[in-house]
Amino acid sequence: MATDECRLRTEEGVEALLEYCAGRLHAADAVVLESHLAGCAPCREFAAAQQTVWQSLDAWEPAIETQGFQSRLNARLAEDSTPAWKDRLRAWSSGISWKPAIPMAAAFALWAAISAPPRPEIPAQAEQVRPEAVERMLEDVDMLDQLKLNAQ
Amino acid sequence: MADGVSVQPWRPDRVRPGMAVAATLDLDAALMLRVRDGCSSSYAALLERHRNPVIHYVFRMVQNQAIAEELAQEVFLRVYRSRQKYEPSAKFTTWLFRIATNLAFNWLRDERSRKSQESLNDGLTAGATINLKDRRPSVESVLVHNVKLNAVREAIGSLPEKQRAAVLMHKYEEMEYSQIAKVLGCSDSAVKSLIFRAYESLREKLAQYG
Repeated sequence: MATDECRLRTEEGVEALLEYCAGRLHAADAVVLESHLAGCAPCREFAAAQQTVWQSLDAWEPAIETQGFQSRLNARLAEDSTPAWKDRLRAWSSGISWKPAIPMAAAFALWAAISAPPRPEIPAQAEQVRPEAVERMLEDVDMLDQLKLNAQ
Repeated sequence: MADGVSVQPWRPDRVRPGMAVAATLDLDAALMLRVRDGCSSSYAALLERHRNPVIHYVFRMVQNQAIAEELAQEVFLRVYRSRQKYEPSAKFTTWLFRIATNLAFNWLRDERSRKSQESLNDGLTAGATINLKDRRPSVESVLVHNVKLNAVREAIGSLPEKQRAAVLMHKYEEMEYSQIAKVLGCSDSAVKSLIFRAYESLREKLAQYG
């Protein structure tokens, strides 16, 4: 970048001016920039305005009390690390290995099936009466009545 | 934390052995790796190192002390909750400020929507920002200082959210453009543009305080 060219014309130039005003420009680059500023009024104005911004921002130091911050955070961490009963139950059950329980459950089911008493047979009278059968029977009775009437 | 959740005050001698874990990483990343392994004193060390910068950054973003503290606590809670998944692929402060920035953006968005619903006027908005207290002894200097502070707060508060975040990280956290870009999830050139426009706006608004 030519030293006599106004730095405001390029992005690199503006960046260098901002860094210079922030006091973050490398010492050698700062010397070059200062010699440029001596002869460039727009860059001087820019730098002066930017330094005003910088000083104004420096004045804004928040006075925040952070004494209770850690204790409040500790309380939230403690709350956060105490799981709900559902999570605790899930955690407890996830710790249990279910593999040995499967053959045990199968053996129990087999034993229950073998040792259970036989089911009593349902007596014939207990069969349910179907509506179609009743209708059919009534029709048969009607038919017999008609046959009787015809015979007479 | 393996030995309970209470964060004990940081003692530097406690964390030194962990430095060997990741000699090439920055101190914060090394501490975070120890937190991942259940070291509560390393978490306390991280808290001690970054508590004030995070609180101040969030405060300057939202301009409300109670909210700033609440959000800063949420930042550190999220850091703690994410400890098992932590991988030092990026600088720790980039990750930390990304969490802080996202929380601040979300709050500002919610607040804007709440305010628009309640149709708050500018007077109330200005009243809500009077949270900072100056402790200078002279009444006159207090007044002068407060006028300037109000102007700075209003100038920063009037910036669009991304410009505000970028300029605060550049000014107060002394972050490089590339790191700010990572925090905001945009390109380096986009960050430069954000910062240039933000300072341009601030130069106009704060010119009278030179």
